[in-house]
Amino acid sequence: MQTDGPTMRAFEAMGTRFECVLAGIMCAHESSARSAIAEEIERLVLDWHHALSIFDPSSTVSRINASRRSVRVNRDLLELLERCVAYSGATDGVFDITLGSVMAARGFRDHRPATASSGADALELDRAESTARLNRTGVALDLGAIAKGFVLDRCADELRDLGVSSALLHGGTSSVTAIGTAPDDSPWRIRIADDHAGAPTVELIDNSLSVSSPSGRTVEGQGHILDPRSGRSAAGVEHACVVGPSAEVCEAWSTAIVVDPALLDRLPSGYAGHALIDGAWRSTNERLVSV
Amino acid sequence: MSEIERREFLVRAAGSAAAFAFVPSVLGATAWPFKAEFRVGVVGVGRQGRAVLGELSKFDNVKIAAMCDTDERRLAAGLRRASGAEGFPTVEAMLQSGSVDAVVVATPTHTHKDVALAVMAAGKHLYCECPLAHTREDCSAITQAARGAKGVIAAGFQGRSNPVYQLARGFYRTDSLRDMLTMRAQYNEKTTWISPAADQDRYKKLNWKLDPEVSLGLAGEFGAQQFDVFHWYTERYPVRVVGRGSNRAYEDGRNVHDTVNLMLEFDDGSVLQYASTLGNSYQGAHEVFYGTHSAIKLAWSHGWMFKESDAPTQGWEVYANRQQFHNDEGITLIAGATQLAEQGKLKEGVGLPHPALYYALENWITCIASGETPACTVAEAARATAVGIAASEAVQSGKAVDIDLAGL
Repeated sequence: MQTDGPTMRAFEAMGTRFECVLAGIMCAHESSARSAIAEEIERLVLDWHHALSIFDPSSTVSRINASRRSVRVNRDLLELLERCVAYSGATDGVFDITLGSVMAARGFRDHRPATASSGADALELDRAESTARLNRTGVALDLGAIAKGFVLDRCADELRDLGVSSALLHGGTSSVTAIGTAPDDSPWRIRIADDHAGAPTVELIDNSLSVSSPSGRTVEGQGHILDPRSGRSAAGVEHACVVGPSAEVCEAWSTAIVVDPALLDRLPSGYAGHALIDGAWRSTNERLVSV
Repeated sequence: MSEIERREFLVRAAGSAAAFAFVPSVLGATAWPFKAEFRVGVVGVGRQGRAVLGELSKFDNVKIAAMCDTDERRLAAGLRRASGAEGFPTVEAMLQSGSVDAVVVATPTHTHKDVALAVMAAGKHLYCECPLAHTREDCSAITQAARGAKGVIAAGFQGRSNPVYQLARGFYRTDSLRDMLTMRAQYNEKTTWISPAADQDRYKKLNWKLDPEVSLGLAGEFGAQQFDVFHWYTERYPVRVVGRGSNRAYEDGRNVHDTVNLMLEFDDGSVLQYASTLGNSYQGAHEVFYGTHSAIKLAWSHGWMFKESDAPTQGWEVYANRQQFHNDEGITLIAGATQLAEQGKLKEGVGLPHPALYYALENWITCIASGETPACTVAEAARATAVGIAASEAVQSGKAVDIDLAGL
């Protein structure tokens, strides 16, 4: 058995570019095995892309949106939807995966719906039957605020199962997950691209990071992160970063903090946050800031 | 009738010609004749088995009731994809449980026979993945058992149930090609073909495709699926095959070629050229028929007809959707063109909304309800597989192999 240098792979999924760097792998056939693992990760991400994408009419989420009847969903997706409902509760409704129609009405999709509504109460989940259903016309799911984080967690689990001891994966440079340390045994260092003083460099060891920004996508000058309470684009927070064990949790909370910066003080235990608010960086944990 | 009305009339008429084999399920939700849930079991939850689970989950009133895999990790991962399904370590246990009405077999090719025979002996409907088996003897055994089987027995040669391929075959059979000149197909995918595993024993078991003792290699595993398209269209089978294989992409000591080239000869003198590599993905998988009036290119989710400049123009072509490929213009072949045009969705590059596997499973399940014969029977699959086996032998031996389908 031998170890060897990093393998890198990039591919398009979920409307963005994913990249993975695989470093610590014990295997008998070096290059093929590393490539095979990278292929497995790409396949995993693409499988979930096809299940979650609202741009694919045959995806599970699209079928939930298109039907007012119960749609059977797999266990992983059911549990994700359950957690999303929990995140909504924990953030007083600020995190909301039922904004699909509202997003479309605001011009962030290629169609404008006749009616647009939202609300986590419109989503009915049946654990026993493993089904999901939207019980109100005009409501549509959009998991864009959590899908990358969710998938990165699945990838990290798979990589650990395959014996990978060092890896870095990201989706669209906004969701990142790190396994172990970088090849030189130092933490994986991620610099937040911002010119304001105090912009953090985050150090990751077996940890994840999500960065949300309302200016990521705009329509008529308005950002894509909407406040579910008003239906308007969030403003005031330029960047929100959350670091912690789960990329999914990081992404849910970084999205919520962009809408309501007060949530920075209510992060779950084990998670740290950093936000650029009115031109100044504020952090819940100074270890996030690298000078 | 005004000019605008006339154009609309021609578009509708043109669309109906292009929609020769319109299949409603292409565009909308699949409505099933089953009032109660129809219970399906899946044997083998590796890569292909997981793809089967994904497509089966799209059908209303079809419940993935059970699954089976000898690999515990794969079984556990599969069970998470189909909530409520029961897991079994052996196919015998699954069949004895009485929890399924029909079974999809997606195990390694060299294990198809034993599983398929057990399913048929239990009186269940069967869908067996392609290729049918890894030897002629196993193909014969499966075909023999299918003759006396109670259920609907189908095989996973997906071209025959593919709406685009069905539509294009209509054009082929109505002389759009005119005189057939030659045929070509390829399967290119940049992949190691390796299933990674931390444990060496598990690694060996999962990577049967790289074991020359049981694997049919690219020629059999991919080629057979594509050869069958040509069998179906031309209603002929090749009589001889020559081939070459080498490892050009991966220097990992593998003994199954990562790049193959084949020439399959038919008794009328026509030839099918086939190439496949795991080192490059350019142009993926497709089949081409070259004729004196046109070429038809089929790429599983898409299809096109490329007309020669001296070929007569059919009325519907005037308003057909076209796509430009460098110097060539292809007429898009898509089932349901009329409906797509009416919805404003007939656009460049339009293809099927589901993968070919979806339509193959849909055909099987529909035939279970209707009693009709599946698009690909086991007998047809056995012949196609035998051609794949011969092609695999040609590649491995470097010698020409005569193809004899007597008895299949």
